[in-house]
Amino acid sequence: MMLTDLALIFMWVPAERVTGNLFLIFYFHVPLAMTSFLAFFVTFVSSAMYLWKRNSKWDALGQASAEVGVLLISLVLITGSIWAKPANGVWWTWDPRLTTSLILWLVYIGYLMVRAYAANPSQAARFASVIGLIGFLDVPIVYFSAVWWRNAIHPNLYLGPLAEPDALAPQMQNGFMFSMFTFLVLLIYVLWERTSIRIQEDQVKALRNA
Amino acid sequence: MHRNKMSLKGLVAVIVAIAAALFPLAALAQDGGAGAPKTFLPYVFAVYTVTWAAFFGYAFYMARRQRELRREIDELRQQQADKGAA
Repeated sequence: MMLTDLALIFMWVPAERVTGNLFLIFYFHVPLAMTSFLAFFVTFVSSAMYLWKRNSKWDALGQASAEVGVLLISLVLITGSIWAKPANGVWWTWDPRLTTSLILWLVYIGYLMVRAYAANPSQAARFASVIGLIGFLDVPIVYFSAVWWRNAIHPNLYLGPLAEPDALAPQMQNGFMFSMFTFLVLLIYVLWERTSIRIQEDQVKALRNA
Repeated sequence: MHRNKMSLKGLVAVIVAIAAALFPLAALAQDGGAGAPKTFLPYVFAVYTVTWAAFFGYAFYMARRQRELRREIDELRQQQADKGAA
């Protein structure tokens, strides 16, 4: 799927009128951002479920999705920075979306640090779940920041409830949707693998204590 | 059997990684056709390389961790079975 996605991006999708080939970054950058939001949403739901049911499988899923989400949002910040340099002449600017994305990254780094440094596993799970619940509040702020504080760096929304219908040409839209789908499948696969690792880690702990 | 499956997975991962790197490289080689300034494609290549490297690095870490955990679980189960037998 990834190879098909790359073939579509580099051989089928037309170049953008103004930025030309630089726009090819969009087909990785935006799906990375959307899948990171989805990963944090999974953390949000898992955190709520863990606090309610106290089932460690919810905690495992929450931890896995937060870790994957941090990987994805880190890539969003890096790829965005690489895009910004030729497009705007700077690697970084304190634009509202960039700033809120950086805050999102810091929140979930905090989530992982709480897990790493908590006194015991049940405290780590509880504290991290609270951060997973509250931290998700920043995700809609990142998404709507492009609408609330209009700016030249993120002029359009391409996906979601406020997406502008003709923001992309049909062929570009199809390429983008395929890229979105590919990253979604990748997210599900990585989440599945990471959750099963965490469950195995719990098994090891249980066997050691037995 | 299990080892064969793992090495096959590794081989597939390497082939996909090489192929994934080839698409941006091919585009880099024929730069200029789309009317974009030539200097832009290295940035595109950097983005794709960073993303792929991160995903493959993470997948490699997960595969290694999973192998370690499986071995650890087998050892612990064996130890428990030995204790039970004694």
